Amino acid sequence: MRDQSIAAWTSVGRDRANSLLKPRIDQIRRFDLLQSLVLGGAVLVVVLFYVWQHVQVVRLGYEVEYLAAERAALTQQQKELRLEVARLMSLRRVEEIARGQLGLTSPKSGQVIVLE
Amino acid sequence: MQRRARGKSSDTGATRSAPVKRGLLRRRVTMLFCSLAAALAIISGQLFSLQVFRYSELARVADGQTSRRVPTVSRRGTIYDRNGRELAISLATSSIFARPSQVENPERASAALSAALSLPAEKILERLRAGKSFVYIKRSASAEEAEAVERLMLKGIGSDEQGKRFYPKAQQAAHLLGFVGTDDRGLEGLELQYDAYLAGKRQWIMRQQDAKRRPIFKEEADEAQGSDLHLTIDEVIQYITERELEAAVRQSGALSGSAIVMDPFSGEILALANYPTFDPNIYAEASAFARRNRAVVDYYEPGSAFKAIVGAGALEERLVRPEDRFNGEGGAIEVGGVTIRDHERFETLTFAEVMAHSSNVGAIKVGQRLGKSHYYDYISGFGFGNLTKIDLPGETPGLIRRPKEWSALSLASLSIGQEISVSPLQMLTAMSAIANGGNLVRPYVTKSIVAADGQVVLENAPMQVRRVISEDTARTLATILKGVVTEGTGKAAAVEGFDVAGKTGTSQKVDRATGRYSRHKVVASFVGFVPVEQPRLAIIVVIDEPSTLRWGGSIAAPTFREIARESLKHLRKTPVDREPFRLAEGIRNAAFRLN
Repeated sequence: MRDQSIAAWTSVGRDRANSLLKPRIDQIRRFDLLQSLVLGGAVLVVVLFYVWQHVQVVRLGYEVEYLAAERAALTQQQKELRLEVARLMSLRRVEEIARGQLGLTSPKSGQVIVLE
Repeated sequence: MQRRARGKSSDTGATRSAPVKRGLLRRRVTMLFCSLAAALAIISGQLFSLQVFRYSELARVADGQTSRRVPTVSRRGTIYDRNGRELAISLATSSIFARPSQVENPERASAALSAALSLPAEKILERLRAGKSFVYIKRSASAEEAEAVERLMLKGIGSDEQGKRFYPKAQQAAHLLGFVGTDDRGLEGLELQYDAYLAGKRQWIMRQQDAKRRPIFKEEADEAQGSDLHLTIDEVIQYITERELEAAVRQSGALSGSAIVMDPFSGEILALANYPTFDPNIYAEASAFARRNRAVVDYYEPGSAFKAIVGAGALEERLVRPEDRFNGEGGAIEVGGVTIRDHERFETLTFAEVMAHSSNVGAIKVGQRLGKSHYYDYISGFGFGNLTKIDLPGETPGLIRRPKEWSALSLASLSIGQEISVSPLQMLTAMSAIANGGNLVRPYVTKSIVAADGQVVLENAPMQVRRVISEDTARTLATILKGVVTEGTGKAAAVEGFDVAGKTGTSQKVDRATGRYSRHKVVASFVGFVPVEQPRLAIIVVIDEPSTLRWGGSIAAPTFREIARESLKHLRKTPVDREPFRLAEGIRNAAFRLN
């Protein structure tokens, strides 16, 4: 009988204790979960930042190389055009056109006036 | 009851099975844990093995896949004339090459390359099977072709970007510029002389690339562009000289010809031409004779043009005066058992007339007055027998013997320009000394060398080698040489509106078959300067073996005239008989702004 009453009281105490502690435990668990989530999130952010940074570097690398290639192509084109201009300005060619197509002749000595 | 009994028995079963289940669960958890731990251990072990034990080997493999050593494109510097006009330019072109031993399927590779490069597949296959360790499939390929080959990703096939030399003016100044070989190294002319400056410094850099061989990052490399050459050559005068020389050689049916135009005070070469000539863009198609810079590397007997040197020595030593008279001996003189004749019979001539009419007898008598030793000193003094040290490769010092090796005839022969061989450049340098008041100057063709960053790395300035004759002697001789053009053998060299001084020369060539002077083969030349009072141009024209118009005065002198006249017009020199046209101040300013 005595044992039974003690058991009943203990049970009541346990229930009472449980009812009092449960919210606190839940609160602690929620806090732990939140803490874990924040920590995990932070780690994830760092990892994602690291990956993003790498992706950006590679993307910019491609972009830099693309622009460098474009610049080299434009420089090459400029040089080709300069070469073409130099070819077209060849005095032999100019004289052939002047004499052959335009019918020009060299000025005589008296026809040249030097300006000073 | 039955229900209770069942329920009781059920309760008993539950109490019995719970520990069993817990045990089973624990075993399963333990097994799972062990499995995971074992898997983790295996992975960690493998990771450790890859990261630690096989690190260097795998790092090398990875590097080989993602990194590649590529050469930087080295471009040769540009060559400009004195007014900044391009005479030689380099452009980047690609070469497609193969290492046949690494090509896995030559048939498939040649078919793919054929489509990409527009070349016959059989030709490519033939090259791949030539048994060589390295072959070029196509040189001077376009950037698009090189890219197409890269995209094919064929093992053993690659492309290499290189500089290719272009000479936009084709034959113009070909002998001066020279040319470069397929490896972009200078082989002749200025390309060879200044190869170390012109050639870019090729570097190998690391390039990171993706699976499609597209570059991601490239290592920074220094500028691989070579330095630029700025020449003393004037493109217009060069063109005039080449045009007139070609006309003279064609007109006279000559073997070849050379002409040089020089500033007699500074030694700057304004033009240097040889005919026949060649196109340095396709130099391999030209003969060695056409490619030879005969104005600098070949020598000839100057003949009567050399009388200016014996005259200079005799005047400087005060052994003759312009008005001194010489007996023409009726046009012939015997020296050392040999009779030397004049081209016409002269009775008495002054020293000035000896020069003007190019009398051999008179010149020999002047030489005899000067004597062996003095004459040799003047010959050496004017630079004959030595290099002028022009900045061009292969220069000849000419041929001259020392007085102790001279025969009884030598002094007489040398007085009329025989028994000595000189280069056209040496003869012009000597005439320039007479033109500029007696100073022998070093000729040069490169004004400056400018690096890609704009820094001047080399600058040539006028250099006086030595004073050969006094200013008075030079002035007197210039007046005498003016007489050659006004009343002597060089009348055809006269330029309207300008005073010209110079000397003709027609020398017989030695016949190699007989070892004696040939009756038919001659070298006709004229060397002089203009205007006499303030010389601006010194010019030499040498025509080798003309078959018609065989005299210096009939073929070289008119060529001199044409070169001088057109060049003076280009240099905006006002003829002496004409006042310069002065523009009103406002108009002049406007005109300069327009320029």
